[in-house]
Amino acid sequence: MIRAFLIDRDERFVRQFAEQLEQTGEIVVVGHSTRGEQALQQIQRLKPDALFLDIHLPGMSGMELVQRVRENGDLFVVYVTGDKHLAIEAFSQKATDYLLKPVDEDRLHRAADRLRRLNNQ
Amino acid sequence: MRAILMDDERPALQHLERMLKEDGRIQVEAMFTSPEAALAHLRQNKPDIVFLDIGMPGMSGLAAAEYVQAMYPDLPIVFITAYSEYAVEAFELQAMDYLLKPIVPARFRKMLDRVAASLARKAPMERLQPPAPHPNQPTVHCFKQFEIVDSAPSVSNLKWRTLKSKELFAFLLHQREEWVARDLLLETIWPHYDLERAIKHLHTSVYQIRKLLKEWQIGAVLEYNLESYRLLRGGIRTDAELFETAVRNDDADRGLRLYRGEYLAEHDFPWAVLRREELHRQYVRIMLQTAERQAAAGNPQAALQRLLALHEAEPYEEVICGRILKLYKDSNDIGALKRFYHTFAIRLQTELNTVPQADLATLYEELAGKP
Repeated sequence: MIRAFLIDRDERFVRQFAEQLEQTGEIVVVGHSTRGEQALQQIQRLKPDALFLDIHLPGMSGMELVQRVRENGDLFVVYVTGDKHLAIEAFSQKATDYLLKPVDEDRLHRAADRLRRLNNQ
Repeated sequence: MRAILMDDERPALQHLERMLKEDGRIQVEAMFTSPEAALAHLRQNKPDIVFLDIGMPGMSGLAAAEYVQAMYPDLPIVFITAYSEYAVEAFELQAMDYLLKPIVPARFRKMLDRVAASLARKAPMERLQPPAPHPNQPTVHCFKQFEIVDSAPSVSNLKWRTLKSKELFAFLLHQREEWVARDLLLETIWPHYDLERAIKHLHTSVYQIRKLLKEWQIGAVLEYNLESYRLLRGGIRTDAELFETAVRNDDADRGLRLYRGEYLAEHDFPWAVLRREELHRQYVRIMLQTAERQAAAGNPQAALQRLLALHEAEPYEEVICGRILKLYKDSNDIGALKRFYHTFAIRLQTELNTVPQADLATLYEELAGKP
């Protein structure tokens, strides 16, 4: 089971996406946040396996947040965003996946699958 | 780790091949300019990784990636392309990485680290294809005199039948596994011969080299294709490339040990001049760096010795003179400082009919003037 933490500025999206993730059967959502700074603290406490987050967040950007989180240990990163122009940077950051909103089930399943495989290595 | 490369532009393929070779972790098994050819090859041979370009207009790179994944779902794919807009799709295809052209070396290394780590995780037993075992790991000396050095006496005793074969071999080695057109070879090695005779000589030399390589058994091969030749080095390492690697890795000590003399110094090969000068520049640079280090570490005598030796090799290079003056000053040896400068000034006058440049003259005034 992959323990995931979600970050998105939209509270409703977070809830809906959390449900989608759990429906894949591979992922359990252990926490979520709508702001970067809060998220950092919670992540440090909860130590999730994976982060699902948007790039455009109030306060610090998703990529900056990932950099900060990774200072305390590596984890899987999946960007979930409406912006299709930052995928190259995501590769540079070694993100595991990059999902465009709205995320369809199939695509999400593949992302979850991939996470599972990587996690098991 | 064995790689297949695909790009519709041959120069791009060669560039990537060169970069991979310089890193050394990944061996290029084959290169293709057409996806069909690449896929045909892949069907028979599974590499450890595939590098794909995404060209315009046809999105053949992405399509090829899909086929590759259908064939080998766990085979990592790295895209190297001029276009940034396919990155989202690349994630869909679960590509391992996506690099933009022109390739930035630091980014390239990061990608290779990632690839290496991933392959290591996957199958720790099989991931490192052991290189085809070479009974010998010969070094070829290029500094000072061109010679083959090998522990096996049967090899080090191999004699070159003709000087031209030796020069041809040195020249092909100098090309660092790049293809050379036959006409260029003829022009370079046999410049004053008429075409027919030159070609005969070329064939003879090629035959001799191939015979040598076969006896040597180090996996080196002299290839011919479309009126061009190239020497695949197999197990051969030259001291010149080891030197360049040492310089790149800031390993000054190793570099200085390797540099026994200038590149092909004892041979009159006009084609070697540029590389000789470049290598010499690198040598001077690391000598200066090492002297700096020694001076900083509280060993000015050693630094001074080094710089004086360097000064002998480069008698007109004023940067070296400046460092020497400073070291004399640091050691409080004003007498030696003054003597050195005056000797240098006289030499410049008699040999080049000129005077020291303003920078050095000013430095001298400063250092000699103060008590």
